[in-house]
Amino acid sequence: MTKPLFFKNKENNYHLFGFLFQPRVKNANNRKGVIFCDSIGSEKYFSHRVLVNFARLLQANGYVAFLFDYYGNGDSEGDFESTRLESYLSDTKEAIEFLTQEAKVEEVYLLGLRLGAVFASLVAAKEIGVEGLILWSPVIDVGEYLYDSLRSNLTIQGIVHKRIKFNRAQLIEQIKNNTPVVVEGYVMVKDFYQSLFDINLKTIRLRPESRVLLVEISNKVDSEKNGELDLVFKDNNQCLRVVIQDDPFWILKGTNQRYITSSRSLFEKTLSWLG
Amino acid sequence: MFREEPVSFKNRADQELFGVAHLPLVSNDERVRKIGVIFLNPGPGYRIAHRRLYVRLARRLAQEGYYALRFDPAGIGESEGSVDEAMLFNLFTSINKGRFINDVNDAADFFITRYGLEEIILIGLCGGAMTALLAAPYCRQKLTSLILLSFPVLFNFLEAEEKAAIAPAYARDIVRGYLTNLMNFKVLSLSAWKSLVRNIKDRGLHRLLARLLEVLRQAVSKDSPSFLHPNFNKLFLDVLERVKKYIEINFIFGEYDRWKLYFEVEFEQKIAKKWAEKGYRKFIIKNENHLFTFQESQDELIGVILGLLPPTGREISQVLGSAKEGGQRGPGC
Repeated sequence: MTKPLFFKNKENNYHLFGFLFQPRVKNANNRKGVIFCDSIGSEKYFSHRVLVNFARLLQANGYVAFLFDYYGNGDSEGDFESTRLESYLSDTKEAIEFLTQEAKVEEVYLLGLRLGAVFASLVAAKEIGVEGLILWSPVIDVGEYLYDSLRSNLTIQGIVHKRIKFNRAQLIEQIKNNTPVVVEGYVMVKDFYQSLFDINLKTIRLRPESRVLLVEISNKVDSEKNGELDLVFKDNNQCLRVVIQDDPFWILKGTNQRYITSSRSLFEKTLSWLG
Repeated sequence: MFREEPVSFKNRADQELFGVAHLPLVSNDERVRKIGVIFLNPGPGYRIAHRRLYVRLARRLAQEGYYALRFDPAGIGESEGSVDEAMLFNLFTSINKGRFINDVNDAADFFITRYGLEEIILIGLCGGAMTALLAAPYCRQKLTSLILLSFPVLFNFLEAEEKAAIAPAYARDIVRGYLTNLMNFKVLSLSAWKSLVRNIKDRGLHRLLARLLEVLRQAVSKDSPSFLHPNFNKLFLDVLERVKKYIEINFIFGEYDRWKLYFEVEFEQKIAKKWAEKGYRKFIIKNENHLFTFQESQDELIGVILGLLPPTGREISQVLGSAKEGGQRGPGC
């Protein structure tokens, strides 16, 4: 059964939207639940169908899958500009509580995509109830990620003003001085930026018993791949690192590209890791 | 004040489709009309639309007393079904040929029946706008108006760029774009130079130079070719002619949207200017792009859309109702 629903973040008193994919078959996997920790902004929008299709695959294999939207994202309550690191972490914890109570799962796995992988890792580092982490192309340096995302603001300045009035360093200064900046239609404010910019996945320490599947999804040749991922969770001997050769499905550059709704090798690898 | 609920219904192919309904607080006053607005997914995008545009619009409309439905047709969002097209432009082409019109009609039937609506309006952005127009002839009698954002009159932007003879208006636009890029950040962008080198390798320097010369030649030309663009979507004309007599049609474009230019050059200048009666209205939102990205201009967009919707009569009811109930309001989102 697939069920759309609203559930409450009791800590912050707002409603979040989610889709619960309950298993179609009875097997040992029924007690395992996978919570999807999405990315934000355009990455969330473009990757949505891939996540849905993986949730359906999990459902078909007996797992419980739960896709939910963070506060101020997707169909959930609130505006993006009101979101902070704390709200993303609090929402993830509520999703874990909801899944364990509503679907009666005993083992919770967090599957994080891009920035969602950072939220998932931060929660897993503190929450005892998380069995394992699946990280798909995680963002490593969040400050760098936010800086890169400002590129779209420059493009818009070029279109509207016919010149670049503010470069990225100046935009960052504006944000720090409480002047919101629009990034791909989402308003980036000081509190959001400051709560996130100095997070680096390399500095997050997981509990030693945490199982981790760390996946780099890349269409680049080996020599161009991101060696930074090798430095993530390097002390964790339960961390499996995998490279999947595929197009990054969270980016849309134009209509002359593949329409990606699934990734066979990524799905197979993740499913087999889950056991 | 409004509330939201997730909804699901079956389409005629027995696939389960999902969506979110935004509902104004219920009034028992019979003078308040129940008017529904259905948002149609843009291209391959799902029910929230780029930058959550549909979420913001739907919530605002519900606050103003309208029922709003955002849903995903088959193969999109969480809805059942699949999209088998390998390339994005193939999917866009199929949407522009009416891929989702049955699902729209099934959604309209569901929405009208579930909430007892008296009238419905379809809103769509880009591919969603084309879906709205193509679905209109098949919708039940309760469809009264279409609001079409960033409407694509051509099948495919990419092919349009490659194949078409360049009209002077486009050429001037392209030259302006080149100059802007040159004057701005792209001259310093490593990826832009990489892309140029790749282009030269893929297409040959002589072809690029020939195209550049053609663009420059047309940019200074005063004549506009009168023939129909090879990628012009003729379905659009057929359907527009059929429905404009009984449905109100409104086009809304962002000032900087390339599709506005295509609409004006390929449709208005070549075709619509010969019509005795236009049968549609066009609105331009200043300082906006194809996806209505800017918050300030989004407010203007919402204002224009609200101005196009028929009144629900809620204002009269609210005045009388609050006098009777002592101004109390129920809880909402």
